[in-house]
Amino acid sequence: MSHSASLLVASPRGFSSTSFSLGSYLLDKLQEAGYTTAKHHVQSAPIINFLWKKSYSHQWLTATC
Amino acid sequence: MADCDLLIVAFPLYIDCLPAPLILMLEKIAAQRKNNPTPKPQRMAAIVNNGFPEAAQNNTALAICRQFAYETGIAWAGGLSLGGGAVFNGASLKEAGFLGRNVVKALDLAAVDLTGGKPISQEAAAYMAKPIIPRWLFLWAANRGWKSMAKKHGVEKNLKDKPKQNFNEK
Repeated sequence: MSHSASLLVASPRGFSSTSFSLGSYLLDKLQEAGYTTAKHHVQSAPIINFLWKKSYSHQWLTATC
Repeated sequence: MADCDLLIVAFPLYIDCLPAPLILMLEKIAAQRKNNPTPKPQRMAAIVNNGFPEAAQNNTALAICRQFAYETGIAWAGGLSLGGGAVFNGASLKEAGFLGRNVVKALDLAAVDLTGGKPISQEAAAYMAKPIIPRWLFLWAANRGWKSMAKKHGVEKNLKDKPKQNFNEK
């Protein structure tokens, strides 16, 4: 059975941050080992609140790489 | 993301804590898991980096992540703590060369641990916590960076200002 891993990057610099470099490297290694992976950037707090009220779904709270 | 087996959070240290949007996000995940009578078994790991020479500055933030996992019924898969993360400035670790050698070792070991269903080992955490460059060199470069930034914005003469003290004097 395939396992899945999600990376949540919470740096204002998003996908050009050191946090993303570190997490992304680890996630790529997991992918090589057969994991299904996804990378997300946590948006700013007001956007999270707004979208949460609209959707009640995690998927809309983050930008996906 | 809500259905993943392994959640990895990666973030820079903000005043000994997590960035506010991440706290909000984790609160919402916690609320959703609480409302679900049979939440999916999940694991969580964290990677924290900071702008100090010492990785130990991240300990409180990692403890907060561990507590979040405990309180939400998520299995804690361990954390990695990096000091002086600004050295990489967002560059890919594959391009970091010598400077990134310990970080790469740590992440390689962590990947083996996590894919084997185990928590991140002490060995991996120890590699990540090793200083990227000597402390004196980090401080020299950081001070130089601040001065350069101040010069760029025309405030190099104000670096030692103490606004609160000046305010009280007035």
